[in-house]
Amino acid sequence: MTEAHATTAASANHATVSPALASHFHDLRQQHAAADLGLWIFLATEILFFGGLFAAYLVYAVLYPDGFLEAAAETEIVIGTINTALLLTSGLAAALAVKAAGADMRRSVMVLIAVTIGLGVVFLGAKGYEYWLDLGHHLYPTSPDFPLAAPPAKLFWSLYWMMTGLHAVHILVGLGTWGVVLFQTFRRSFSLTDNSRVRIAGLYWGFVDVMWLFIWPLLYLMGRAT
Amino acid sequence: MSLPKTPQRTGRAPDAERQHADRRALLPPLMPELGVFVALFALAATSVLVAFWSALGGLAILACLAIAVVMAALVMIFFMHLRSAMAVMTLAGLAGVVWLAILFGLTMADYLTRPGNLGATMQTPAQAESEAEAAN
Repeated sequence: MTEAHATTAASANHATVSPALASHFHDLRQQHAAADLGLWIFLATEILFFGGLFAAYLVYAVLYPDGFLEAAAETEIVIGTINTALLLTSGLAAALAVKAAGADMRRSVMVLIAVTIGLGVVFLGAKGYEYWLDLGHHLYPTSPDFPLAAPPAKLFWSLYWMMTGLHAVHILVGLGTWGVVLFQTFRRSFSLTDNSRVRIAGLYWGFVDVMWLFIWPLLYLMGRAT
Repeated sequence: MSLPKTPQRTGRAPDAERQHADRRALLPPLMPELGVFVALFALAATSVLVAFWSALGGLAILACLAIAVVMAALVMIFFMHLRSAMAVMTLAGLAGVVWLAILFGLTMADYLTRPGNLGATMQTPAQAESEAEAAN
């Protein structure tokens, strides 16, 4: 309450006295930039985290193109494509949530984060159903009834489980982050004048989106034309 | 979900009241995000069509990946707000891509320069030479 009065009294130079401004920053713009840059640097390391798996895929797809084309045709393309649509829609909701946070629209932020989380949960549900189908088809490399003859098919399916698994873990982390931000927004734990935590969650969610945009063609669209 | 009125919201000018009403709106302005979203769906649909286009055969994946690059760029520029971000954010993201290119480049520089037909052997040139010598 004291903070609110202070803000009203000094609304002329609001930016310099905002209670949302941490003492070690010059102004809110610098504070926002520090948070964003920190997350972008983290995302650069995340690109390389996924990059190891993409490099393994690249090597084996170049060494054994026929085996990979045959193995990739066995993935559940309908579920994979539905999941792409779900993540793109979720990404739209997240981007709008960040926009709403910038416009001080607390109610809108809560609605849009809830939509983002809902679509993410449906994504994980579809992914779980897909895993269940894959297991039913014995499409895991250690299965004695593995249905594909070509040995490189097992390499593909190892990468399938690793890549989708790592991505699903990132979805889980993103959902947890959104859950905390939603709770804090509802509890008014932070002023939307400093909406860094909404923007950071939005950046992370965007990254998870981008990774899926490459996993989807590599694992699901591959091998359909042959 | 009724929000308690904070002191500074009372007795405002009509203009401020209108802004207050905007802040309670369900959604922020939808453009350009909604337009980008429609473009992303169109690109995804194109990618599926290309994937099943038999004329391309096994190379269809390359066209799909090219579409994925465009989609990823749209997501980063509009959904991750690089459009309005400081240049240093783009540089930080690009640094990851540059290191990824080094990872791919040096890895393939190894595998693509091994002897024999591509995929026929996992031998290094040195191993191949010593085996050829042993055979002689």
